[in-house]
Amino acid sequence: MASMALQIARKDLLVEFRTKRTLNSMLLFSILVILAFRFAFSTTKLDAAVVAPAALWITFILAGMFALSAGFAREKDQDTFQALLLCPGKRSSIYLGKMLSSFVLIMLVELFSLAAMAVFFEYDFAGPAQFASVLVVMMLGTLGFVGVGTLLSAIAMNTQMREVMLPVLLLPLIVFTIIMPAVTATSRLLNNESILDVSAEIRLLITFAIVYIVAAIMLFGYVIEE
Amino acid sequence: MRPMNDMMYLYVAYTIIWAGAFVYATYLHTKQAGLRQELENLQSRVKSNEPGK
Amino acid sequence: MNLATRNVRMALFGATLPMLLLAVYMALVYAPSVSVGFAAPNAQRIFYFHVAAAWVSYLAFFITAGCSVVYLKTRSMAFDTVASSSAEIGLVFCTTAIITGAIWARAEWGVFWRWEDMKLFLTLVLWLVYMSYISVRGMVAARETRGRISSVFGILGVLCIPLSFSANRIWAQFHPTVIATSQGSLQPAMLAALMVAVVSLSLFYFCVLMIRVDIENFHHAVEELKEKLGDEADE
Repeated sequence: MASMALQIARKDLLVEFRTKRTLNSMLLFSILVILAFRFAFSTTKLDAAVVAPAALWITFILAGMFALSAGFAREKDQDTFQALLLCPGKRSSIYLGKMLSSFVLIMLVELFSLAAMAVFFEYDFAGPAQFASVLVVMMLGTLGFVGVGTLLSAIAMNTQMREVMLPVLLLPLIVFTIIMPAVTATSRLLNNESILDVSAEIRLLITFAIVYIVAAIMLFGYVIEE
Repeated sequence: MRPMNDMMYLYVAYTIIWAGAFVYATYLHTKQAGLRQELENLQSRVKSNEPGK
Repeated sequence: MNLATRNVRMALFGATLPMLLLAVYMALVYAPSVSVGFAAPNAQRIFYFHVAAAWVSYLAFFITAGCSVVYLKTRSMAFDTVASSSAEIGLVFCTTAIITGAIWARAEWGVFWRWEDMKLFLTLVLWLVYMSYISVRGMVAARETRGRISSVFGILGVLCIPLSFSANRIWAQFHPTVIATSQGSLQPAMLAALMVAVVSLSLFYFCVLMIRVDIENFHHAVEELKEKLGDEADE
């Protein structure tokens, strides 16, 4: 199962990097959103650490939805989905492969957004430890939201208004479970608290990442039946 | 003054709950009765069509 | 409908109204007035039906998830019908819980809503989850596909509920912790009133569920017969 998943992820990433269409749109989009937040708060005396975490995560989620819907939309539009289903191995490998490729793409965009945030909000990282902690929180949060988002994207493929359905399905499930702990943790870390102080939030993120990924592995087969 | 204000909230809340419950239950019951009637009509039409075949 | 089912139905409908009346009596008259710790002792009586509505909505959503699981295993349409009916009714109870909560909050705290209160927030999220469940069902024409994908989403949605109970313990808390702690335990009379409220609203839920499921079933039967008559007319 793992090797097929890796193959699918590798294939998706290769296709994406050939044209970089989705990636470029996501990068541009993320910079625009960060700028929008910066402009929106430009007249108020604002500490970067106050607005930045929320701006960051909203950017991550919105840009992330591009990657999530692109993953399956491309297959469906180019009719390669049947071929995917004919591959030997469990259906959940398809899920894992798609999830991994989306995760990689979204992490790239997130790192870029983090850099954009540091520049536009004039934020200086206190040291590598702080940067690493923020990175850990980003990865855990992204894992959770990509975990459930990949499954929901497959669900949305079956509906009449795909692009609208994905946020409608995704946001209620992640707003409390992923966004809240992630933003809280990021905010506290950017305020120079140590990673041990945010252990409650991290535990929550890990729990939900595991819960969502396990649930998705079990349920994915039902969604993509023909 | 406080007890009076209190009671008002209580009245409003209970009115909403019970009026809402009544309206909802009535709405569903009416819809069910209407569909049942339509079903019976259609069923008798199907039956009357059969001997004629 | 056979006689046994009809008897069960009659019994259920017959039991519900008296229970509801009893619940109202107990909430308004029998339960003692709580002046300690509450700014609005009279409005506090909203608590019985507010909590009961919230719990019945959780019940409804669990039933949706349970029927979704069974549907995915058996593909029997009956389970999909119960799942979707239960979700709609659960949404109605959830709305009631939110509205009564807001009214009580206004009486007690002076504001209708507090974003810092996690339990309120979670109930709103739950409301949104089930709203999405219902809208995804509206976006798919094919019955079988609709059943499949909404079942998957229904199962994901129910994962939010257990978190509701621990949320009070994880983050900042303004919401009164209902389940007994050593300081704020419920007096027996209040507990009794609450239990009666929960039981009576649950009975009401089951009555409404049966009617709603009937509506779905009649609707499908009507569609089928219309199609059949349409075919016969063409012959």
